[in-house]
Amino acid sequence: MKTNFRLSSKMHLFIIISTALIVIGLLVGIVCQCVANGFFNYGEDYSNYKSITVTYENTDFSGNEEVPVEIIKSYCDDAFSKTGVSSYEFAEGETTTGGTVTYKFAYSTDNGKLEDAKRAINEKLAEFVKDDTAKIFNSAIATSAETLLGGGKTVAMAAIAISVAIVFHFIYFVIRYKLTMALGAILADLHNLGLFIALMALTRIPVGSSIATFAVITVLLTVIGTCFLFDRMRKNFKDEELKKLTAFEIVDKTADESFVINTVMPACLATVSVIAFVLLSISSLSPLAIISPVLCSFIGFISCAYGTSFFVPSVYARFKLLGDGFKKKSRSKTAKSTQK
Amino acid sequence: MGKVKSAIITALVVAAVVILSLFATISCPLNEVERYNSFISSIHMGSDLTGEAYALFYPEGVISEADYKLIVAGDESEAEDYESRGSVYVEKEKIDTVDKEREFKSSIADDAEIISARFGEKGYSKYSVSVVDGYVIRVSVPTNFTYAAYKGYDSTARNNELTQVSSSLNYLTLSGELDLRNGNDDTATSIIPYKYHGFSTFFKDANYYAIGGNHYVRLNLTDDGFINLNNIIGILTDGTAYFFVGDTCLGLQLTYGENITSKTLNFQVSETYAKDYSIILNSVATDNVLANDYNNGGADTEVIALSPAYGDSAVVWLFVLLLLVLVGAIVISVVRYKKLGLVNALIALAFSAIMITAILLTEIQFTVAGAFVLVLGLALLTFSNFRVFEAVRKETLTGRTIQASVKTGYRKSLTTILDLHIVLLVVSALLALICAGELAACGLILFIATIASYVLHWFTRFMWFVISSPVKDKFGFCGYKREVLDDED
Repeated sequence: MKTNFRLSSKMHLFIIISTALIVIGLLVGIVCQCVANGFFNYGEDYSNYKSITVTYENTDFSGNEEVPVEIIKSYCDDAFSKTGVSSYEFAEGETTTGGTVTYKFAYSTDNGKLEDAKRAINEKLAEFVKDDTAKIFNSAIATSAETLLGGGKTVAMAAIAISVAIVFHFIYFVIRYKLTMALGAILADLHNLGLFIALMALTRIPVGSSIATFAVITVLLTVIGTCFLFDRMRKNFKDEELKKLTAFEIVDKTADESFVINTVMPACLATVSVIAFVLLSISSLSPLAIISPVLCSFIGFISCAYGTSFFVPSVYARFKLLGDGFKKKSRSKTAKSTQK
Repeated sequence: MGKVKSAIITALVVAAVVILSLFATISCPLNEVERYNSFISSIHMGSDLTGEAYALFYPEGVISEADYKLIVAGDESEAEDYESRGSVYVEKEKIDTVDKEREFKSSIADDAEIISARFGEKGYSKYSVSVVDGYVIRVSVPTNFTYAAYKGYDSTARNNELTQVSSSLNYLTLSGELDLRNGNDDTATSIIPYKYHGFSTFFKDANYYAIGGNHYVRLNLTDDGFINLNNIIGILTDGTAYFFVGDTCLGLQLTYGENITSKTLNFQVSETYAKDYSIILNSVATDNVLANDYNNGGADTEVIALSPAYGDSAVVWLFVLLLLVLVGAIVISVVRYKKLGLVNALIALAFSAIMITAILLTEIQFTVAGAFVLVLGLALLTFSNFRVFEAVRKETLTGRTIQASVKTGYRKSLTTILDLHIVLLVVSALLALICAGELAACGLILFIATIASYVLHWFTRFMWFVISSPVKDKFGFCGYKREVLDDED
């Protein structure tokens, strides 16, 4: 498949689109940092929460074959719907003497309502357990103030790793390719990463610790894309038959040739994300837990496809022009000095 | 290459890939008791796939609501000593003034920071340390179950993992100073003279290393510590001295007459404890000592294994996804490149089997993000091959033979493929070295995938040559159309 986008003539359009998206995203993030829950919409991995945990110490429900967890769950769900609270995550636990059932609620959930729900659950459980000597049930409301230092460290380490990777990418391209291409590569990395961050802040998708991983995957895909793009670019600029074309035309031709590989790979991965969401939703106890990483990856792949296929070739055409101009000037200077 | 030679090599390679794939994916019962667990079901999973284990750490003077109820049922007057604070009950004397309560809560928050730093060094794909209601520390870590352990097919592995988690939770939350005592039980007393200002002043830091399957804890002594420790060993009365953190004896000991010649102490420790010992020793040696004692010195710690957030069958669905991706890659390559696509399919299958084996051997904790990186690795291999196939197709259009086109196609694509793999290899190594947890695991997976992709890229050329050698219509084999040169032109 070949395209005829003439990207080099649309540099201003792409710069406007990218700048607008990045600036709006960053502004939304900064405003939310000041007045709401943070630059990103921090999800369960980073936010405080309240929870109701039912601990059961004996699974022997006399005269009843039902699974205790299912019974406790039905009591809890009843109590929550009556008191008007809704949990965003549910987990079953296993202990040496029985188990636990934990429901997590947003930190803003009213304590009074949680107390009412707890009371209702306790009453139901007390009714259910006929033989008091054999069964002990405890239920407790735990309001947890999370301090996830591990999460913060992960993001800091990811930031360091990404920075070092981008610098390496630049240096490698300076050595193996040309300075203008290395500038194009670093621009691609920064643009795609910036767009990813801005879109994450703008769309307010709840982010967990996986945001760091998908930021890294965005950079990795950009690296792959720029390798394909600039390698083709280098070959086309060296091609004797193409030398009669202008720099802009060669860039357009290269962008057309690399278009498929630079869009198909992110598109394939985006499709994998969607399938992952569909498949994991079948088994997940809370689909909300899956939607976040899937959307995260989706935004990463879109940023990559747009940045590497559209934005970078259009801007690189100017880099090339500037580079050639600079070369010409320095050549004429050298020639003049030799003449003198 | 002759037909026979080609057939033998093809059969051997296909058999190797198929056998490896079968061992990697199929689990089956061997008899009524034993079961063969495939490589896939023996890979360690992250908390998103097989759940996390958590424990609550109650400082001295803080009890849970359940314990409070038991106290009320036993002796109501004793219950009056406690006051409710959220979901826990705190001894009144700990919080009888606002300042005391603030100080107590602040000491718990500081302890949580230290505990978090300790668990951060453990290299879990994900962990969390939080403070519940300001009084209780909650630590959660991945269970590190394999699928077989998670589903109960391998109960030994399950118990081992839970023991490992439990041991880590206990050791990394130990409170108290580092000490050297004259015994390994409760009656043992410190043998460090008061003038030395504590045993921890002897050490700079501690770290963990492993060589040839043996695991070690290395303690680095300060200049003074080196001299002082030699003096102390020389005057040991009952022969052996034991390392303690608080009132807990670690399995490390020094014996009378031991000659410490260098400023490092190396102890060989079992794999289960080595990393935990090094982390706790490093923490206390660098003055990161917990202010409170938790769960009665760890005796009352109960580890609770939680179900994974992505559900009980998340692992199965994730592998269905990976299988779909593999099938997709195979179908696309066969449709586009006919029998050459089958060569690519064989290579993709080999890549998958190699990656599964590598993840198993390196004991990487596999997560959903890791699965994405694996897909990226497969995409790298497939697109690299497709790139060359297209380059060869382009060459055939100039009227060259297949052999000449393959040679030129590979030569022309060499720089692209090489650059791509070098950059990815270095970036993935940086990720694995700089980052921790899930990101480091992803970096390591990508590192292995990049090497495998490059090697298999060249192996594709070999297999292309081997399999297509006896074929007469080599253009048809690759799904290419032969360019008919017009003589009149």
